[in-house]
Amino acid sequence: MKINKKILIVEDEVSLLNVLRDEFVREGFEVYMAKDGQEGYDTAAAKHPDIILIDILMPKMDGITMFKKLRALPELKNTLGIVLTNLNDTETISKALENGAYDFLVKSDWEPKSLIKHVKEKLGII
Amino acid sequence: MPANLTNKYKKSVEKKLAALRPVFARALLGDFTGHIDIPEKDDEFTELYVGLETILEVIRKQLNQAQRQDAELKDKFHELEFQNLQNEAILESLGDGLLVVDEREQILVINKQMETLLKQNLKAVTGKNPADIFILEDENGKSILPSQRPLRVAMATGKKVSGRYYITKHDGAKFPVEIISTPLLLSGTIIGGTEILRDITQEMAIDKAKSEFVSLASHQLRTPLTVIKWRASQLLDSWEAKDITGASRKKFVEEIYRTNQRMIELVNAILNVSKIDLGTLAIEPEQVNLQHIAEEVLNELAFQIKEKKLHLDSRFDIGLPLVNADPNLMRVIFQNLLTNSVKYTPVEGKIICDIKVERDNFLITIADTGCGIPLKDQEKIYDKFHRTEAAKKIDPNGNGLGMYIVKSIIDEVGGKIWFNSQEGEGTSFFVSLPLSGMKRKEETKQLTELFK
Repeated sequence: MKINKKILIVEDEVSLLNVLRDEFVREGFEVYMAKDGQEGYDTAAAKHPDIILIDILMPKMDGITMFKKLRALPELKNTLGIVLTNLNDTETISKALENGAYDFLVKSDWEPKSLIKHVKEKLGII
Repeated sequence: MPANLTNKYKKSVEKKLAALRPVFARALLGDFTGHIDIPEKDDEFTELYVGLETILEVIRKQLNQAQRQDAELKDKFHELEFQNLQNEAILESLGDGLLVVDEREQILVINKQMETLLKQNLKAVTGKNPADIFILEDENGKSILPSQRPLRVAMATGKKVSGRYYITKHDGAKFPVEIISTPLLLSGTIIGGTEILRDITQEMAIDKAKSEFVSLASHQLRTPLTVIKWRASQLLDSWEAKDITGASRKKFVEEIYRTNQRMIELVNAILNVSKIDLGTLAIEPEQVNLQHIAEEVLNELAFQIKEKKLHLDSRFDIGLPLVNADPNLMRVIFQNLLTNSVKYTPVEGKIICDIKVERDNFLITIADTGCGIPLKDQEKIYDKFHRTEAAKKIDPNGNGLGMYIVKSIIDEVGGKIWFNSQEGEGTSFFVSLPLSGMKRKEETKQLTELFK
C-alpha cells in the first residue's frame, strides 16, 4: 500500500527517529529523515516534502528557525509543519505557531499510531 | 600712738594680709579651694576673715553645682548621641531601603540603602512626595496611579500593604522590588508612614532559572519516556499481528531497558542538582583513599576502555595519604570526569588518571585525547544541560548535568577545578582538594522542602 506523500522527520533523538521511520514506511509514506535543523532545511529544500514533523531542541539549528527559513522558500511556503516536541512552555508554543507551524504536539502525549492518523488527516488522505 | 607702736601694728597687719595672699592667688587662677584660717583669738580682722571665707564657701558651692549640672548635661548628651547612632545603625542595618513620610506624605528621612537604590541623597528628597522620586509599575509595565501606590493606600486605610512592583528611577533604570508600606499611628491618628523597598532582581533571576530548569528537566525526562512509550506501543501492536520479527522485538526490549536506565541516571542527576541548588547537599566525610575510589570507577569502565582499545595511564603517588572526604561525592567526581573521558575519546586514544600531592593539596588530573571543548563552549561547560555539538554527536543521550554537578560539589567542599582543552586534541581536567579534607555538612532540610 503506497501513499503518494512525502514526509520529512526532523528529530535528533535517534530512537524516536527510527520508530517514526518504521511506522511511516510501513504506512507507505516516502520517508526522509534529518537529525538536526540544518540537515532538515537542506533535505526539505531538495525533496519538497508534503509534511514535516519538526522537533525543536536540536543541534546546529532549532526546529522553529529551520521552519521559518523553509517557509521563506517560495516552493515550500505551503508545506505543512507539525511541531513534535517535548517542550511545552507557552513561550515555545506561541513562537512555533507564530512562525507558521500548523500544529503543536507534545511527543510523550502521543503514540506512533495516533500520530500517523493525525498526519493522514492533515494531509486529507483519510 | 607712739611711732614704734604704729610700726608694730603695721607689721602685724601686713602679716595678717600675707596669710591671705596664697588663697587670693589661687582664687585668681579659678581655684577656690583655699581656706582662710580663722584665728582662735578674736581681733579686728576676724570679721573680715569670716566674711571672706563665707564668700569663698558660696563660690565653691555654686561652682560644684555648676560642675554637676555640666556633667549631667554631658551624660544626657552622650546618651542622646548614642540613641541617635543606635537608631541610625538600625536604619542602616535594615539592608533594605527605608523611607519615612509625615502625614502629608512628604519625605522626612531615607536610609543609606534607599539612597543607593534610588541613586538620590537624603537632602535632595527631603520634603518631596515619594511619587515624585520614583515611578512604580506593575509586572506588565503599567504604571501605578498615585492613589493606588502602596504607601498612599496604607496611609488611607491605616493598614499594612505589600506587593511586588517595578521601579523606574530617574535615570531610566528599571528593577523589581518588594514593597511593604506601613502607616505610622499615634493614638489612632495617622501621623505618617514608612515604606520598605527590597531589590528582588536576584530572587527574580533565581525564579527564572528555576522555571527554566523545570522546563528543560521535564523535556529531558519526557524524551526517554517517549522512547519507552513508543517502543512498548510497537511491541504491543505487534503481539497479535506478529509483523515484527523476534530479533527486532529483542532490540526493542533492549532499547526500552537502556532508555529506562538513562531515565534513572537522569532522575538521580536532577535530584543531585536540586540538592545543590537548595543548598542541602550533605557532606559526610570519612577517612578515604582517593586511589581506591578512582580505581573502582576505572574498573566499572574497564569494559568500555577495552572495547575502545583506549590506552589507560593511571599514576598514583606512592603512599598517598588518606583524606577526610565524602566517598560518595568523590565517586561522583571521578565517575563524571572519567566517564566523559572514556566516552569522548576515539578508539585507541589515551586517558590519564593521575593523583599526587602538591604542597597542601591533592592534585587530581584526568586527561584524554578526546574531541576537546571548542573555545566558544569553554565558558559554558559547567552550565546545566549545556552540551557541545561534538558531545551530542558522539552521545546523543547525555544529560548535560554531569559537569554542573562536579563543579558544584567541588565548590561546596572547598576544592578547585580547572581545565585545558583544545578542540579535536583532547582535554585535561585538574581538581585540587585540600589535604585537610572536607568539612561535615548535614542534610538538614526535609523532603517536603523540595515541594514547597
